[in-house]
Amino acid sequence: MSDTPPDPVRSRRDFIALLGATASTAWLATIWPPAIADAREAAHAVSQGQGPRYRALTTQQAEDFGAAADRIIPRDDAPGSRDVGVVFFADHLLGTFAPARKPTFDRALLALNEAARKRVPGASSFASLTPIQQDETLRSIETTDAFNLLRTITIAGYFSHPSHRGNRNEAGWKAIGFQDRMSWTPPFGYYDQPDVMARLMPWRRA
Amino acid sequence: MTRDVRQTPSVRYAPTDEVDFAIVGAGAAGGVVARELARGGFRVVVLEQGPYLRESDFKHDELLVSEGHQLTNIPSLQPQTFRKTAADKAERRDYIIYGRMVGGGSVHFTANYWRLHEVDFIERTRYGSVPGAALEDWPIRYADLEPYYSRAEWELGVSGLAGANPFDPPRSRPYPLPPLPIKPSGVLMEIGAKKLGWHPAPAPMAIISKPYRGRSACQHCGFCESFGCEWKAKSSTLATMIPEAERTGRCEIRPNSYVRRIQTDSRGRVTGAVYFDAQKREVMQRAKAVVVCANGAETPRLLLMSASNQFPNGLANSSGAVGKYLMFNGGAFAGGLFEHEVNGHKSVQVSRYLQDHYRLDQKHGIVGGGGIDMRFDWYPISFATDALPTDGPRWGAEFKRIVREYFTRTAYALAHTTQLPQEASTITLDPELKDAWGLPAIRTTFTEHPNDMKLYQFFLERNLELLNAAGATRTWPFSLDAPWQVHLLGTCRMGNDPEASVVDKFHRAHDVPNLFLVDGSSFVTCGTGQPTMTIQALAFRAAEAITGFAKRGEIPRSG
Repeated sequence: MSDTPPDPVRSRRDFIALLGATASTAWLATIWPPAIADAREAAHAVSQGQGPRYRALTTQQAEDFGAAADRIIPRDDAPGSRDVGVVFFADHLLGTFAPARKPTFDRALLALNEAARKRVPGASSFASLTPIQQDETLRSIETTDAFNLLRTITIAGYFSHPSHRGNRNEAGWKAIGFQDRMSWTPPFGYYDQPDVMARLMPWRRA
Repeated sequence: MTRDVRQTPSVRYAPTDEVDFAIVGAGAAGGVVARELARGGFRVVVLEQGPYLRESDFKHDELLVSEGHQLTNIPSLQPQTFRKTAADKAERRDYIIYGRMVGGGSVHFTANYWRLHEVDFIERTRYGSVPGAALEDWPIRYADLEPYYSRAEWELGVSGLAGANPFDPPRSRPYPLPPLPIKPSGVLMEIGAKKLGWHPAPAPMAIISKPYRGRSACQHCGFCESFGCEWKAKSSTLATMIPEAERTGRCEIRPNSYVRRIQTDSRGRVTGAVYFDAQKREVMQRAKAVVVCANGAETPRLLLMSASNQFPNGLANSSGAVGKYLMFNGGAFAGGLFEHEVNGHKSVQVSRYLQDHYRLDQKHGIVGGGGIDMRFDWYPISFATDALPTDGPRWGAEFKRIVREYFTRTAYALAHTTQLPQEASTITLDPELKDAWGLPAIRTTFTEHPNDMKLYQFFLERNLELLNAAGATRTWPFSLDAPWQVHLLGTCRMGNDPEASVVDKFHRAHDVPNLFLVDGSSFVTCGTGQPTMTIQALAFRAAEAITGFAKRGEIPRSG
């Protein structure tokens, strides 16, 4: 048995509680087809070599959030947050179906920049820090609501359905071994292969 | 996207046309009652607050079901409050989650389909008086419900293996469909359980393993819990009962119809239901009788909102029991990391379960018990935010490494347990907060009984023991302070005594002879685990009784 005490705060519905409580009403009836169109439009713009245009974020917000997102899920042998469009996801989220979260997001970025200036007096922005300074800054606020919001949006953008503009080319899904399919057939993994089951579950042969 | 396009036109009734039955709620219970009453020859209108979605509306999109609340109640329109005790000031918190669409929670549920056992109906007799708990026997026994459990399995389509679980209560028929394939998590459960001397069995699931009654078999896409099934393989009422009800030509499913009040006449009899239509216009549907199947939170809320001069404390509430004894089932949850690929995201969430601890030995000094399954019910976003050990990194290179390492190699043990009924755990109307229609918000008051917490701890230890015995290289517990908020039970309890219960053993309101309440609110105790099957068996039984009453002229009318 693990010695880890159960965390008293987090629940399995944290994610929903954090983002969903004040989502605008009935967004899905009005937003769903545009959401898909937006994704196509964004992909088209990028493919044409055009710069990003944001709906809800300022350019500075996009830079600061993108820098934080890249420290939260950095690039390794799989793409990092910005590589898969997490900033576009955040812009889409806050510009369309959760605009009520925008003020909270704005405050989170203010808190991020305040922490950055505390770490590096006179720094112009979080984005201007070195990666090591950025990590130290994030560590200084990692128990705050501000950080949790940035973390949640980053994770959602990295792993959401690509129609929301993040998880570009399903790179987030590929990184963890998830594949969106309409059907699978057994064996689903290692343990349910017939020869493995025969070895591990001798009672099944009896 | 939200659409109300029907595949086949069904009958439509004018609101002024007095139908035989108005049913409030087209969910797990309402779908069954609608189909049974329509097949019995009655004219039925089902008023459902949510939309009428089709399989083509379902997507493998976590944001759609979480942020979008595509299949569930919508917090921004239907805010709620919560407090631990009546002495506290309730705070804004969306505590209750339920299916809000034609098909209700049967669309997005995991589809675990457990019968209750004999002991679940007689816990007062078994344990006597438990301090702080309102433990009572049900007015019916397992044997009374058994034929309807079997009917539910065959009418809806359930996969399982009769006789495989040695603790299963007696059954009159085998399952109509063989078990779904064992998953890696099921193999691990068998290995661990055998080591511990426990008795794992194929989990009974309301998901069809082979084609059944015109529906295609499960294709193992993995999007069951929280999602609607594109294949119609999950035996929701949307895929089964509702189309059969419509096919009678006597049942109208009316979506986007949010009932605000059950109307009564000067003699205290029900005359119909008043609802807001999609344009928020108030409409009164006249009916000879009303059946409320709105769930264990919305049913008591609707009765309380239907107070009148004759029923000052709420409709059918002379006992004062409406809204009391709220239960959810308790539980405990733990994770384990394994050496090889588990790939829990493929196929249904659960393939094995066990009930060795259905009743704990008296030496533990704990009332009740539970059942355990091994599962994987995460999707990529929820996995990264919430599935990992809480003492690990939450961001950065190491966090990413762990998410990538763990996603395909974890399995989880989940226990579903007893929760004791308490008078102080309630659904009431919030005195201040209103929903988007101006109606009083749901206010939940809930604190676990001390016995509940002991049970959770007991099962958390069993979960970890099981994962370790299965060969986990690492295990971790989840907080016990996060009760299930989706099994909504007990708030209009069934009983023989009109002074202590809301409905009789045939679900007729003691106070109102042409009003019936059929859903999780009827539960007297929450039972040891998964409630949906019992809700639907009760619905088959109630519908049969109501049909008999109506045919024999035993439902007095208004006027």
